[in-house]
Amino acid sequence: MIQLTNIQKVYQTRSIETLALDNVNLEVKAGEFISIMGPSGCGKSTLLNIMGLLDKPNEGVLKLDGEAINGHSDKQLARIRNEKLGFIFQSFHLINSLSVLDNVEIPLLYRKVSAKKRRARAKEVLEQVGLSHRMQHYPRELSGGQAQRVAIARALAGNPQVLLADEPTGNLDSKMGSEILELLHSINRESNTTIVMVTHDKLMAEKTERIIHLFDGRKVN
Amino acid sequence: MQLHPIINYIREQFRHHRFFTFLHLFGTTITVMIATMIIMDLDNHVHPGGPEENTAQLRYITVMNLKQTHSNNTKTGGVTLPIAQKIAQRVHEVDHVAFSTTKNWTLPKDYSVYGLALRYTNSKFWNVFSFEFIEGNGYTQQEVESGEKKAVISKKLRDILFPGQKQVIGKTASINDESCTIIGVVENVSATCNQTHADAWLPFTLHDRQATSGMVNEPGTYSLSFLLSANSSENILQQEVNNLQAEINQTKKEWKIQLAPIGDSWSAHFRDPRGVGNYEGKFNELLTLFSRILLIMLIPAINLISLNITRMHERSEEIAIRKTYGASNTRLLNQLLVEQGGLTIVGGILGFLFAIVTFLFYKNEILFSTGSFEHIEVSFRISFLPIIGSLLVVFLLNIMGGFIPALKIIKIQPAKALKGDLS
Repeated sequence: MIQLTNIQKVYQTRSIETLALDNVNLEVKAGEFISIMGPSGCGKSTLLNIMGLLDKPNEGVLKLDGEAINGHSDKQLARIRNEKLGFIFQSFHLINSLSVLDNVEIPLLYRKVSAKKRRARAKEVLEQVGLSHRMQHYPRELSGGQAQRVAIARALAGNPQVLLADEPTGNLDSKMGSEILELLHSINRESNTTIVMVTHDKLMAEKTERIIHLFDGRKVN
Repeated sequence: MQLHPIINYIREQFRHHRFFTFLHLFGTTITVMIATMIIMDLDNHVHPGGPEENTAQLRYITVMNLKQTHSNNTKTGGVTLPIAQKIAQRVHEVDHVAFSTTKNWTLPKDYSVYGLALRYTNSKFWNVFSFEFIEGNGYTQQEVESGEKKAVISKKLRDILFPGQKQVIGKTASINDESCTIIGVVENVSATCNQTHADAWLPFTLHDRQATSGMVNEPGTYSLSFLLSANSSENILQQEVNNLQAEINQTKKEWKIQLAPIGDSWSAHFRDPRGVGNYEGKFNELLTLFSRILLIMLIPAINLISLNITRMHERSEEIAIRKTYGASNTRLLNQLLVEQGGLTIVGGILGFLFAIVTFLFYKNEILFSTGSFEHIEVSFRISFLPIIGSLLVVFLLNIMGGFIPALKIIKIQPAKALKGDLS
């Protein structure tokens, strides 16, 4: 599903050059649920951003669903992100000015889907995450766990092949965290969605099929 | 573009960003209000409506210079009566040539209103301009030539002189110390109608300044109005006037006359009243007007840009999320401009309405830059020009105040922006 070959990412400022990823090779198979672990600043999020086409590597090849991502325009990348990828973030990143239902509809806004179908799909995924009773609420009115469920519903709305989760339980207590992880597992099982999760939590990571360890931008065993 | 999120956005602005929304609306409202008032002021002077409705066919000579032959001395004023009469009699290119002059008139103090305007005209005046007669008619050429004391009055003057009476034709009234017979009553004429406004119209032969206005070394007070027909040529008309001017100047030794070129309502409004210099044309006048409006808009637009850049930075997380979920730059730019446009349109509508309300209460001060005309008849109209002008101002404000910040913010990298890094 995702193939990374010799990925290198360097962040350059006027005086400092930081090697964020150094020759990383990784293959994530369709339907797999993997986690990426490592200390802060080791390049976990950078790797996830490159997989999510939110950042570009300086060197190396990224293939997504067999398609090499190289020289794509902003519009083409936006289309791929919209159709194939879903994102979950540690701080939820919901839009406060929109209701829960409107937040969940976001990925579908950028597709040729009628308003009626968008609403129906958003309601469907909100039911899936157990938040159908909060549809008309605003993000400010939700607890952390509920907000993350809305973020998961938003990620699922577009029916993506891959879910990229950047520390999805990082801002939640352990009980909520476990519930969210269980939800991700059920999504992975039921719809065979590939999930790549960045986490600091070893217990969470151990519940996934495979753990990738990063250290100083390199993949380690 | 879905309407629902835009309404949500505007609602959110009012709910959570009151200060920003206030500043945005205030800036837009004031700018649009000022721009609309400038346009309405111009429009009401250039297209005053009423008897001067037919602006396409009306042409004027309102200024005349007297130049001393052996020096640079110049005297500027209106056209003298003999010259106005000569032009009215001798021009063939148009059927109707009117000339008139005005005079302030004070009613006795037992009337509640006493500061009024008189206009002395020839008989063709009633053919050139389209007055709305409530009853009666204008005076004929014969009545003018024989100096008959006949007058046409406005509805307002009728109500002052003959309170409660609807039919006053044949009655007599003292107008400027002359006992005149009322032969016509017309709808009130706004003071914005420079060539026709008055409360009473009388034959020019009754004018007590008639003798002085013909002095050889003084300019007059009359203005000439021409009604072009479908077959009339403005160039031929101008040539005829030039020939007459040359003919008159042959008889004059010390002071030569120089009439202003024949112009339309634009040139009559814009021409430097101190001279008969060249008129650069409607396009240049419009260009000047819009340059002034743009200059006025520049300050609020710069403030709006800076305000919106701050606001856009606050929205960077939202922009980043939308980009992450597949919004292209073009799509985001459209969304931001439409949302921004929503607020600007609200400000634009408020600005337009405030301009109208301000005109309703302060029309005299705005249209005449003074409040001393408390009894003068002033009406204004709202034509398409200020509406289109306001829309244009809203559009330009939106482009200047919204497009630049939007263009800047959509270039953010979502991965960085979601971490709060906007460098």
